[in-house]
Amino acid sequence: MAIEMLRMQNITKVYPNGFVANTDVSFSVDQGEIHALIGENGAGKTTLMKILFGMEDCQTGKIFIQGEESRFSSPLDAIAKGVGMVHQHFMLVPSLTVAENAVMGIEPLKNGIFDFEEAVRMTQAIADKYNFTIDVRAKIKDISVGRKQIVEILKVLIRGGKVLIMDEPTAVLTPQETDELFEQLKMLKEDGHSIIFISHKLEEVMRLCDRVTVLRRGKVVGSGDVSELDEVKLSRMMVGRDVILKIDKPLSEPDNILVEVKNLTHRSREGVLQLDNVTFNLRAGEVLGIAGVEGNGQSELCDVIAGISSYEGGSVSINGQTTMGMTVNQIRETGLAMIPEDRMKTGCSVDLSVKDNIMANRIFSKEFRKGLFLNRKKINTLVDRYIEKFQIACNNRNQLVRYLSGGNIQKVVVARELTSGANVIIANQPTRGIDVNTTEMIRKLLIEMTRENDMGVILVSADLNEILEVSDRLMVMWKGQIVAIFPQADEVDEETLGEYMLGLKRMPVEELEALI
Amino acid sequence: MIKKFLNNDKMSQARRVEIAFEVVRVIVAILLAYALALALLLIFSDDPAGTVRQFIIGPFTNLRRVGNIIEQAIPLMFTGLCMCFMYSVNEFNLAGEGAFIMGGCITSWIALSIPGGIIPSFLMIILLFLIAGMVGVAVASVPAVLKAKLNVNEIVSSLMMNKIMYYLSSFILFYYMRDTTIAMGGSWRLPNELKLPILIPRTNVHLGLILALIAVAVTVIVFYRTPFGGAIRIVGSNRFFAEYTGINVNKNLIAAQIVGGFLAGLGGCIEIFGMYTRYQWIIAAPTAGMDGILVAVLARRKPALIPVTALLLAYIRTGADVVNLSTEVPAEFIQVIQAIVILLVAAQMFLAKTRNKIIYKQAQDDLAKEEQPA
Repeated sequence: MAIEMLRMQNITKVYPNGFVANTDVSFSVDQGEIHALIGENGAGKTTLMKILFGMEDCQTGKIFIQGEESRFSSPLDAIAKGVGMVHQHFMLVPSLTVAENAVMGIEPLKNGIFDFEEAVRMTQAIADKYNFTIDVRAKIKDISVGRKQIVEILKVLIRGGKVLIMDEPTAVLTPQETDELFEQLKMLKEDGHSIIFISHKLEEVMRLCDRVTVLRRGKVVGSGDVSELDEVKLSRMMVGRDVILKIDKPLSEPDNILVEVKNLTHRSREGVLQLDNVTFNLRAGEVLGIAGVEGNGQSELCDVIAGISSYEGGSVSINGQTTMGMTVNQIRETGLAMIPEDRMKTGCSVDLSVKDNIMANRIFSKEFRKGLFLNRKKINTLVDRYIEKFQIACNNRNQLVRYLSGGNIQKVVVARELTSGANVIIANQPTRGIDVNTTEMIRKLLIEMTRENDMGVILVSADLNEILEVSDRLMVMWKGQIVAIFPQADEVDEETLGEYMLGLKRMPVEELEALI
Repeated sequence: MIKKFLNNDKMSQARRVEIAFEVVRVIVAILLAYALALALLLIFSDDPAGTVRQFIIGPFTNLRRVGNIIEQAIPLMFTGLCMCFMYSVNEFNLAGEGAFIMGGCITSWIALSIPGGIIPSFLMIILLFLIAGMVGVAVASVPAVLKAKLNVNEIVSSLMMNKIMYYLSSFILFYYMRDTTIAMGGSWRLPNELKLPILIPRTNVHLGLILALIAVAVTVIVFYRTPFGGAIRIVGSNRFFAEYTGINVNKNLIAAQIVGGFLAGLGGCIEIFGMYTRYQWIIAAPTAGMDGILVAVLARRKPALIPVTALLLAYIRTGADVVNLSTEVPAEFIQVIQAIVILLVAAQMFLAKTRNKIIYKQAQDDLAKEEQPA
């Protein structure tokens, strides 16, 4: 009989804006168990974990650690009780070493001064114990994303953590790194640690976890042993209906060239080379996917094409017009629209209404003017039509965007960008962190746009499934360069893609030139 | 009425509670401030209840005092609107004060320099309004442009700008328009035919009131009905977003601050030609510019609420004057009470816990309702 490590009972959480994140949620984790917590985004997984980790308060409910009722008012309390969290976004100091980061807050002292050698010894001891291969003297900024995650795990273990909360740990990893992480998590499990694994990738849950709890709209809708479930059953629980994981798409018939990028070079403000001689074309009627581990120049490429950042070498032309020296607005007028990577920061303004957000990129357009003033009637009709067409769940067009869920905020962004009249769409992480239904809708829309309206789409995504499903053609970026181009995205398998993404392989220049 | 409001289906539950709560919160804050004042007065005054009564009811006891409230509110509306524009793009450009003083100073100087009769007075006053506005634009644009082009902190540069404007206006007064026949430091008498007409007999409420209300209406229209207003609201609420959607951030930032400066400069001119017979703002200059910040913050940066908060502030000020004249309570003490009232009204988080509790309860009720039919 398994020993219960942790139990959360009847948790209810309402945010100050009235959003009910959790309703009467109960779940438990046994010792030596990997327990998956899955659900669409906005289902309340992260909130529940924040409550467990003492980052959020809850209105009702109790938490028991090894049978003892505990109340955490801050992460420090939680850590003291052996609960540790590995955040989606790493909380590490880039300029310090692995060892210094690992012992941060519990620094060993010698004569009142930080004892670096002792820190190295402590970190190395833990790393050896669990068979983590990591250079503890390396600086965080020099190590890979996968290693950084190991450091986060080390941080928890070194504090004596018995329960690890992993918030979508594989989102930023390559397939190979994911495999490695899973091996290590299994080892921790065998050592008696409990792991809470938050994900919305069903395949990973099936591979790694022992038990699973499914949340939907803040409530537990199902739980059970993974061995008794399959992916189809799980996805039914998550969304309440069968999700089509495959997209049927009509054949792409690439046409004339819309975007021509030639020898594009760009450096960051610090002088780091971020785009290195990038050359490719986008044709009408195709979705061009850009795969790559995050931070290999994909986002910079989007920003440079859209005119947010300038470029120092090469050229970009959109619909035959070269964009050198143009403002963002001028570039948009050549026929470009962009769904930016960070919807909360650059994709919308949460303090403005749905209407204002949808109108943002056409506010100066003559079409919506009546004399000096805005043509409110026309605007209102248009916005209402988009709310209906894009199924934006809001009370009315004047509701502030901050009251909407993540998926609906993204629908606002998509509605604005896809209807701007542009024939080139840059979609940078268009479905990151949103629910399955909206994800499916956005993917279908992108494909539909290219097939029916003869538009071209550049799709950047960290989600391999998305890249492989939606793209017609596929490029891989590594360290600011294009290292592979596949003319048929659906013929690429994840393993091969992973090798290119990690820089283990690259296509010869002649081969790439032929595929541009 | 509140019940009906809370059951309005068009707004989300949380939003409704927030709005209803805002109203209640302001009222509670004012009551609490007066209660606190009463408690303090028990220590300092022989007749605390009487003093508080004077403070609250005093401003309404005769027409002249009611007139005082309105007169004081006129410049506050202009500088409040000025700050609405500054805040709309999230810039803390405080040059409204300098713009206000210079607007009054330069137009007085021009009015005194041009002999009467050359330009018809109706045309002249319109001309002066425009000049005052342009002076305001000049003053406010310095910190705005410095920030946009050289990233100079606009708070520092606008405060320095204000200092320069104080002394420049004194210089102009003393060297170019001082009436040497009077003991006080003031200019020659401003031409009588340029004085703004009085609207309400036996008070000083002048045409400026109507102009101020027009300015409020125009601002509301600009904010919510024009492309420019839409653009500055986007820039103000999220600059990165504005940049990504192709809105020229710097251009709109500067434009909004220039419009703000225009209103403050105009306000200065209207104040001089409405309330004064001579230009006499020396070192003891009016504080309307800085009070504009208060007015705009109390109005939650919403131009439509500016007349309300300008009147509220003017009412509190008038109450203080009444107490000062009719009781033995020192003027400084009245300032303290004013400050308490303003502080509590402006405190955004005041009673936030109670509000969250109500929202939580509402959400629970909603859930219960939702579950019943299922």
